[in-house]
Amino acid sequence: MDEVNAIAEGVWGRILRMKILYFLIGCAWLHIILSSQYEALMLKEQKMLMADMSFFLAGLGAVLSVLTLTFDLSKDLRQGTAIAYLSKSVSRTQYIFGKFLGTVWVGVVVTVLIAIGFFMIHNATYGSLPVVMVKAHLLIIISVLPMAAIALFFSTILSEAAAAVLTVATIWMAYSANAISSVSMLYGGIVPDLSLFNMRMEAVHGTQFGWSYIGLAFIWSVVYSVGLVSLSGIFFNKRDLG
Amino acid sequence: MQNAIEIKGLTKFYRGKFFRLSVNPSLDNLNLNIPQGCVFGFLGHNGAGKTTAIKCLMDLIKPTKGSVTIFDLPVDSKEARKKIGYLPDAPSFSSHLSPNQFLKTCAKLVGLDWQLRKQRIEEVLTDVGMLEYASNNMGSFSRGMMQRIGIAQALLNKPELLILDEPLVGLDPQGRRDLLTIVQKQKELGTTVFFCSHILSDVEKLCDSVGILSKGKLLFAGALNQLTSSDGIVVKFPAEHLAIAQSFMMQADSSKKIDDGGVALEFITNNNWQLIKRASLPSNVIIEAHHGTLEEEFFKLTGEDTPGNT
Repeated sequence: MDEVNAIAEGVWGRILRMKILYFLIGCAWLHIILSSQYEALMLKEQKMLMADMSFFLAGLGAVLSVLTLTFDLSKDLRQGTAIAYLSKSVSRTQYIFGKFLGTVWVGVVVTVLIAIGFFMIHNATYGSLPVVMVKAHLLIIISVLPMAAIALFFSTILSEAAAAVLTVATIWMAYSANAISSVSMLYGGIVPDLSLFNMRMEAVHGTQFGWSYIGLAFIWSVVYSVGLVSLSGIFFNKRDLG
Repeated sequence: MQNAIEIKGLTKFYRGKFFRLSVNPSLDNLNLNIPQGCVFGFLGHNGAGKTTAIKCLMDLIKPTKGSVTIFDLPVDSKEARKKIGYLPDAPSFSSHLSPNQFLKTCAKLVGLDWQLRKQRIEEVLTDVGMLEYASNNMGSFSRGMMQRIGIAQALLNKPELLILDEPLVGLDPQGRRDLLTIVQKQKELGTTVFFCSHILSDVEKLCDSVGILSKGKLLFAGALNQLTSSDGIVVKFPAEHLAIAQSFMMQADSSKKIDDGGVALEFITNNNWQLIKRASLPSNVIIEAHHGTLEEEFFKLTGEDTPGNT
């Protein structure tokens, strides 16, 4: 496990040290603050706009965080960093699992920071914070797991550009539950059902959903991620590197 | 003595378009044993298959056929990896990291205790002359500096087997000398060194054994002195006997001027030097055994002429 931690630390240690990341999170917070000012435009429903904006930005932050993996892995392989690491006593499976965990941690930090900003702004503006908002944000944070697994899978078999495009396309498809729900084999199976994590509508309109739902979504995302990371491991182990 | 590396029947065909296997193998039934403590130079032209062989040794690419063991351990085992230090060909490690950060991750991966990490990183950076750049971003490093960092990470775990893929490429004369000193030091410590290089004079200086690879096939593997051993004679004619030298010029394999204005004739082909042996030569004509250089033997084996020979 030390080897996995070392690889994971290499990923999050590097990304979380980037100043641009905090600048972008600051921009997200500013956007949330500004959206609370559209009183006339939103016919005094700007609270909903602000909540919706925070969910959108947290989701975007999660997608961008997992996309770093598609570039990171290919770059490491191309530059020889991965080869230097893999020449030590670390297996290929441990290496990609470390990359996965590091990316998940980055995604979690980014989405948590955006959510915390929103909670503080909401609380300061309206004096309260509905629990459903916290729950919906929690689901976005959990969604980092399957999304990172998708990014890892494509990066282990494809070049960085192809992996990034296919990752975005798959995530988009996975969120478009209505569009593909008729293809039962794909929906909720090979392509994950990420609409499970999309509770923006419920949160904005104050419709309650239980903690058990979040628990089940978490279990599903862990199982799906373990499956896909293992599959990625099989492909990565068979691949010629360098 | 235990072999550090054992390669049996190693064959590699790369896959091309539509996953079809290439017609010509990159490695063709390579068999090689490298004893522990040996400094082995792996030579060959570009595309001969040296890097492919090294990548098979490191389990970075999977052979089509054959097997590799390191200290009798399978090449993909963690125990084998713990004994290896590897410098990849033309490394360009993450440009956003400093050598300290990069080597810290490497130190964790080789299982160095956290108390020892800082000290060991400083030691290897000192060895490769990069201590003053330890905190600089590697993005600004030249190829030679990157090569030194690559050597530093390979030495981090005090390896029993050091595998260096073109270690001298990109190094300035000082860097080359430093590297040769490092290899020499490792040799004295009993480390097995396996390296491939195009700089034959350096290989000749350092290696006990060499392997010559051409088009994926091993043409020679053995002790360096076995390759460059006596295989003919050199007859040195002083200036006053140039006329006699002239009469043998046609039979000689090559000739060159010597310091006193005389000429040295090389007779490598058997029939020619038998002729010289039978001739009665003046007493101040010196006959010596001919020792081929590694460069001459390399070109002879790979079927090319030695550059600059007359």
